[in-house]
Amino acid sequence: MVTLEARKLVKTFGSGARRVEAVKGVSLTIKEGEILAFLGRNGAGKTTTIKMIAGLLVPDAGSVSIGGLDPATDREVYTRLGTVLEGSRNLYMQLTTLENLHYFAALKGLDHRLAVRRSDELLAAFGLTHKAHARVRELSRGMQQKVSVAVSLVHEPAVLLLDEPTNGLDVEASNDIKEMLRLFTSRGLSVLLTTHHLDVAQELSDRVAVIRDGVLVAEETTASLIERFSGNSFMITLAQAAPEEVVKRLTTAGVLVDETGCKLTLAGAELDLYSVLDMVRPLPVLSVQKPTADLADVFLSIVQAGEGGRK
Amino acid sequence: MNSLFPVSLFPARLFVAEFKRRWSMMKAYPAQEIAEVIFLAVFFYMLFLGAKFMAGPTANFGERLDAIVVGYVVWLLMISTYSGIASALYSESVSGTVEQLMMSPHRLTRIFFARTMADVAFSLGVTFIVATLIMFLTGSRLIVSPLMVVPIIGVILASTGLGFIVGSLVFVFKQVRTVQMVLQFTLLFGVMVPIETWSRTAGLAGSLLPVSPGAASLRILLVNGQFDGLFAVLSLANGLLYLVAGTWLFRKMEARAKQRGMVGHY
Repeated sequence: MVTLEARKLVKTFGSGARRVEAVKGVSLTIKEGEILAFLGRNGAGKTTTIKMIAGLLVPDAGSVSIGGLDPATDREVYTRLGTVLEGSRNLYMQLTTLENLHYFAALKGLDHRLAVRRSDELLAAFGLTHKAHARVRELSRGMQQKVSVAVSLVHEPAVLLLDEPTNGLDVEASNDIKEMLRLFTSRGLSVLLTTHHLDVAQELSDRVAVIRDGVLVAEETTASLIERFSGNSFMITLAQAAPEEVVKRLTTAGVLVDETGCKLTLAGAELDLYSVLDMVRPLPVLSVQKPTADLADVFLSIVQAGEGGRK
Repeated sequence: MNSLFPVSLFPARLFVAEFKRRWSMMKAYPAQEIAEVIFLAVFFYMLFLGAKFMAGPTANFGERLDAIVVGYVVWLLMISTYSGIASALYSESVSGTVEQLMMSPHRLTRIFFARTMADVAFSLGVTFIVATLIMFLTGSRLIVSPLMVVPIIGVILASTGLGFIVGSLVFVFKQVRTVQMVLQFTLLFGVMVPIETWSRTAGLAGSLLPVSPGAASLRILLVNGQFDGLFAVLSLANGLLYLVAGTWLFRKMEARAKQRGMVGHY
């Protein structure tokens, strides 16, 4: 079941020479229990899209539906949506962990008894029970972020928007957040995750959407995207350097040959593996490897494509 | 089953949450709260011993001790409700929590209204306890009519409405301290202008000034000991008028900020 659907979102800021088209027709869907990693460079349009989904920014065109409700017209949607924005911007630093949980639960419309029960459950799940009465400003950055995520879940939302949840966290805190996300998505929570930590995105996400210059340039399952970008890539290691005329034929065919003349990289070339092996016959081959791309490789390939390889 | 008081009409839960939040904030900064209570205690002590000048000219609702005390407390409430919304919106915008407030089933205007009323209730509670203690110590007695509750509600609603108007400017200009100080004279003017002494037509027209009918009604009650039903009703109407106007403008400016991407840009 689709819990979040954004259709053809458009947002432009400024006018005349200062007009910036931040988001140009972005569409996203997330199903129940799914994590969608929403990736893009700084300024690509991620935060603008998230703010439109959260109802903090009105789109110029397009619409958002969360559990069938539109944030632009129906405030009831916020009983189904939780949001953790980037940085320490989600909590009252002067209040304790428990006071924050209770206050934001009331803000989401929960009665006190339910707020108390949910708060206690979340404190236990996040391992924060011993910090219930500690003021948030006195907690570590990792603990604060855990409290932010716990607060965003206090009303049991169907959809969670997470903007850079592991920024500035140590490995342990980051792992705790990941573990919690796995737990809650297994219970049906849908998550829209933006992060610059591509290892986190690869580990957690079911699907990936990549935005470049306000346009969605890729959206598919994480596994198939990685497989697609790993598909045509092979590394061949020769036992001796290829002669000059062979190197010339290989490079003309698009195969990368290193300066030793022993390592050949076949990445996205039109030739298949057997054609290249025919070209190097009868030179002895030490190994043929098929390196697997990771999400970082995929991301860089996608965002650099169409930019003329600009980094 | 439909609730007898739908959330949209009776945000009592929100009021309780804001009152608890206020209490928690007090615990977070006890020194500041203690200092305020000590100031209030010293103020009442001096006042009850005869230093009437302590209340200043702005709180002048009459020469009697009752009138001076009530006038001063009402003036303090007006100032805090008038300035509270803009200050809260600015500080929440800087800290970033305003975005979380905006992502609530309750509108931002309702949250800030509940917060303002919780602050009023909290301040009144503290003032009542301190004043009672000092009265006990000095042997002074205040005799006040319960009917004054009506104009007090009127002036608090009106000053809250003005607070929403100033708060709406925060969405556009971010820093509004200077505007806030200038507009405070509007409030001062509204309190000071003696519309109860004007002709009937002028008095009715003057009732459109912010807090004026409420202040007039309080003066009539505290100085002459009479309850003027017309001014009392006008004070409530005046309060509702400014509250509706203030929340309308606040929502317009909030929508404009959401349209232009100005929420949380500090």
